[in-house]
Amino acid sequence: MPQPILQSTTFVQWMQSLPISWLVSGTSDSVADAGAWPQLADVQVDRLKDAVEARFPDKAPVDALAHIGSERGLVQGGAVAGTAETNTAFATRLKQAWDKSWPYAGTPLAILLNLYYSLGYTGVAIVQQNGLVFRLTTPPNADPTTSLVITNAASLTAPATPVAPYTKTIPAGNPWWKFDDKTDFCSRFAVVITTANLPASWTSIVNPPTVTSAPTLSEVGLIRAIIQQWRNAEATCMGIYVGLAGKEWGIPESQVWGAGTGNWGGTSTVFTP
Amino acid sequence: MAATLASLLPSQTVLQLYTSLLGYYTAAGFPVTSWQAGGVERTRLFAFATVMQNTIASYMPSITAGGFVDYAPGTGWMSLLAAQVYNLTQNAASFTVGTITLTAAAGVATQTYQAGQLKITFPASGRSYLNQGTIVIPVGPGSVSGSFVAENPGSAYNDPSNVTGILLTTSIPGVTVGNVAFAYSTVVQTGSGTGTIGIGGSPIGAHQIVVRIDSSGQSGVASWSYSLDGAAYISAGAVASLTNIGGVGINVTLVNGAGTPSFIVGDTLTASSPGSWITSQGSDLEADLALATRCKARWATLANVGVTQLYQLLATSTPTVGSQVTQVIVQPDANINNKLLIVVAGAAGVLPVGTISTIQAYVAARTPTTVFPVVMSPTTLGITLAGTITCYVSQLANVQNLVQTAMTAYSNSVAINGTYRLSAIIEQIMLQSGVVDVSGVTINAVAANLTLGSTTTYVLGLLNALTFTYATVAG
Repeated sequence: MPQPILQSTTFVQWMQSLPISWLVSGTSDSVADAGAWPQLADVQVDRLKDAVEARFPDKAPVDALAHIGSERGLVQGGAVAGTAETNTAFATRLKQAWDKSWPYAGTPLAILLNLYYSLGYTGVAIVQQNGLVFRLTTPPNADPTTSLVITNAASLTAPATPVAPYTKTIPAGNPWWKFDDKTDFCSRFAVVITTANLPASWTSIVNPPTVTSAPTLSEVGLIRAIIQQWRNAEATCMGIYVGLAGKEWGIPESQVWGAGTGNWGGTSTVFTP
Repeated sequence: MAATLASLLPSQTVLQLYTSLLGYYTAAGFPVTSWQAGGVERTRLFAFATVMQNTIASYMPSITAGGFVDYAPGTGWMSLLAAQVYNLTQNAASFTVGTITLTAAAGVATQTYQAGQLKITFPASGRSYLNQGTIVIPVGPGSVSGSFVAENPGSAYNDPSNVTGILLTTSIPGVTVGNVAFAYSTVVQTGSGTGTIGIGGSPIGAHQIVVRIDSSGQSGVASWSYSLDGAAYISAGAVASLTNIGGVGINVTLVNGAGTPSFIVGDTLTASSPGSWITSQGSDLEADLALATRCKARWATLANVGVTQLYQLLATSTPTVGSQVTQVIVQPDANINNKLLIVVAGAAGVLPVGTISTIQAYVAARTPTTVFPVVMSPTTLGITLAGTITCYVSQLANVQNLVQTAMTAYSNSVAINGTYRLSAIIEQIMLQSGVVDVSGVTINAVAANLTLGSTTTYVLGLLNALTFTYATVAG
């Protein structure tokens, strides 16, 4: 049976345990050798242990976590922008990549979870052309699927009519998110961050973003990377819709013409996905 | 306290270990600073530090790196890590296979050669190929074509088409050999129709043509459109054939298949010109970095829904041909719902049709309901390089061959939607033995870099015959 290598006796202990009095007691050069050489060997053994343990999330030094994350496609919160995620929390998330990250790849939940953990965003909505809206209650529950809130988009008040070569007319009353008149093209979605849910750090929104804007080019780059990595391959992201001021049509879902929910006139911008 | 990753990745030097030892002795009260250089004490400690460095410390970086996909490449650990942790086998190198034509002059008698008995050698690269099967050389005058396989595996064996002066190393008086590219690639079809297209004419330059069926029917009834080199579709109407498409000399004829109607709306039929003498591209042993990328993509197999990385992994892991794939772009189609474009290419550019078909079948069998995956080659754009190369007169022929090989290699290195750069072309030419100078370099007649493709088009450069002018100087 293999010995537990991480609990072995040190070289110093082994050397001091030898029944050779001239080596382990007194003040001779030999005694110094018996102290110094095994110390150096022990340091090397410790480094060997560290070298092996560095690949394990719970044992890894701080500067190894990002590389384990790179392998698992996960970015630590605060690494690029947003709320800092503690090393312990990130290590836990790395270990749970098996059952709390990758099994949801290709779903809106995966995008929302990664926007939350890696950037700290809350209140983000994912809208699908075919009428579903997804949000995440935060912090997510241990079972993140129970934190996903799915609602219908605002219903069409009049039929959505296609433009050629698209053919489908969508009857009034159906929940729908209108990007354009390509009514057959329901594999499209967008990420929406409303004015009310703008991250506090977004104080200088510029489109296209720059290295000095807030959010920075790096931060928007991470949003794009998260969307591209976690969306289902055949889905097309139409953009990252950002509310700048006022109200937007359809978000919240009750915000539609004739709903009596306030004045219009909001402004927004759309980062390319 | 655990060592940082940054401190574990570099190798500790003997001097560092020796200094640590001196520290221990100093702490124990020994006057190490008064020990003489070359004395017994210093020599003993230095020897011990050397042993420690050679036996343990020098291996620490690779032991550390071996556990990280980001760092394992190049350490010797990558293939083991991939196999044991990700259950991925490193793609082996594969052999180039191509079609060689042997032409017998008048007076040559018929002769039969078994597999491996005929050997040809390309003059520029010096690489050799052997016949794969039995080849019967006809009575002259006459010719026969046969498959030849590279002597060794690797992408270096993807020699260009239409090379002059290929040597028949197996001497057969009166017989010459050539590797003329087929005028067109094999037609690639997507959709459910049984019809195909016949293509002919004398195409000028490198082109790709896509025929899209706009209404179902037999040839002459079905209406169709064509796209030349990725441009917008142009309606051809309900005609059976069209000649000199785009003015580039390509003729297309719709040929009925077994079913009726033979052509179904939405079908596409794609062919490119010129084809290649290569029928199966050679590839190198999968690079550690490419294998690391596949390892990372392995996580995507945990999902119930296919993400981009999953399709990249499938394309590069397709049994028997995945090793040929060096580039993959996965994008939703811009116009058709749930249609997924998987654009692949190999070390030598556009992959043979058989390879594309094999990947298509492998991916399609693993795709969810309603998703329509289309494995395809990028469109090719003919690349014409020109300029003036000055070389030593005694080395002119050799320089021409070297430049041909170098430019082919450079063109193959430009990725799908990549950029041809003047600086890189000039650098590669100047690296060739015998070249003195190069000037006036242009790419497609323009003295500027050329970026291929766009966000919705996928283009790979295809090198046309070089049109460099050669000037010579004594030497």
